[in-house]
Amino acid sequence: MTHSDTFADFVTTRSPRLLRTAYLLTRDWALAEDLLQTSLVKAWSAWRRIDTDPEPYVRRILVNTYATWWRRRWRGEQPAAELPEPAGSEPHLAVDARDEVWRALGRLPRRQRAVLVLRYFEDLSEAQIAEVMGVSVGTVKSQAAKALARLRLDESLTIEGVLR
Amino acid sequence: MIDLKELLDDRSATPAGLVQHQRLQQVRGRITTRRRRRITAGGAFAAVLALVLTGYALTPAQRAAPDPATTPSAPTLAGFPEYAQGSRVVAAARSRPGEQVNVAWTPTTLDIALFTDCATGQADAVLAHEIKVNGHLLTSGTCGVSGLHWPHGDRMWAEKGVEIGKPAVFTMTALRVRRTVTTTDGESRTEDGPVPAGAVLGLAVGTRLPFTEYPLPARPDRLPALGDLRNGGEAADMPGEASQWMLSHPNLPLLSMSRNITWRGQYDLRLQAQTPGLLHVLIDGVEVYTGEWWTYEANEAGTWWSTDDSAAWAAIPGFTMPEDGDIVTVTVVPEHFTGTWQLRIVPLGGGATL
Repeated sequence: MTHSDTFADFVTTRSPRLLRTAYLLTRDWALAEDLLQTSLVKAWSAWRRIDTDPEPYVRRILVNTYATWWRRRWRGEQPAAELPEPAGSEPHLAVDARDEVWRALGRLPRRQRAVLVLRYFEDLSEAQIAEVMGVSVGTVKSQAAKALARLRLDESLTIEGVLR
Repeated sequence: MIDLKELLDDRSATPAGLVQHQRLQQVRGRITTRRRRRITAGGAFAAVLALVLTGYALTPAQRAAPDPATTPSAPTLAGFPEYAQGSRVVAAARSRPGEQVNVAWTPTTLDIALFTDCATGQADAVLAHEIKVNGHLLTSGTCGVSGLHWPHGDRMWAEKGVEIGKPAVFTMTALRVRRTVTTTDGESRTEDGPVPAGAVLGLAVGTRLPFTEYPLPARPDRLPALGDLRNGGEAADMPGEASQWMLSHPNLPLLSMSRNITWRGQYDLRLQAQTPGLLHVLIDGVEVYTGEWWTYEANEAGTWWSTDDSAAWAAIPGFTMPEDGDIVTVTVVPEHFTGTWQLRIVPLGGGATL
């Protein structure tokens, strides 16, 4: 297979999973698609130099592009202090703990959110996360600990020990 | 207890109806756009650099420590070299700082070329401008892209009131200053700002010359080697591309060559030649583009076309728009070359499948 063939095969077969990762980071399907395509374009530039499984490489581009995207003009994203209320939520309804956790995840700083997504969705080890994000294992540990602590301390989460 | 893994898995479940089958095509489109931007940026930079170097070479009196005048300077008109890129400059002017520039000229031909040269007074900045003729917008862009001409422009000139023997006024106006900024993550973007008060515009009108009447530079002892015709910086084909190449016959550089392509999507053409000459590109026998070389610097030339741009094709005399999917013959007719030339046809967009 040529490089073009392997790239096409990768986009066709592997990108749906990466789209889900991108969605967990951006929390918007259109932005996720934009992030994924941006990452794939960047990956193509180096495709010929990749002689192993390209997915970790593309994932690394995706996560780092997401983590630094705030520096760039990004038409689709409008910073907001508060995330919008989920559709259908009413104050008098019982608090859906899962929904609150999901919203609290959205309030995390980008790198902390990325660490949790890589750890709990991609099922990567701390060493693998460190490699993806280009940081030390210690940084991954501290970022994960801070992220989980913020979720537990989030005032919208009233249930103790919601995470495990 | 809430299982975070289960929550993330659940929340990221792909919604029904989410379109994903177009991703590959969209990624390819983005790659193409990125490459075209690089080509444009590279070309503009090369043009600006060439003008800077030309201006430096032609204005020794303005330098602090002029070189000894061992070689007479080529004639200039308002700082523009009299002969450039197959044309002879016949009228030119430069503005005073902050003003527009007007060039009055009575056409003797409608085979016209325009040259621009600007100074912003600011580092790494260029001027975005527009050029009007007789009050009609002719073109706009970034100053420094020299040698504009319109091979099939007779009808266009007529619409703008430009006729042989009738005085015409070309006006160039600065719109804004533009600079390229590199962000911390290596991406680049352009930023626009107001026109600096000290900005100076230069505009020259030239008439195109027959190849045999143009004063070519002396042939060097050793011709430069041809490159690998990188398309947007890439030597290899992108996904879905299958470039076709034409290389001149080793002993017969004036031998024509042909290739068949499918009329669909977009095509990039990259061309290069060692010596001065003309490469006429024909589709089914009708000339649609001419690559020109007036030096021995082995510069690359290039063009691209979209097969569904009916307005552009209608402007080419004698050209009949093929149907989508038709097989058409691209023929290259070389003229005047005394060295090697090469051409790369790169299919883009809907014309290729993966």
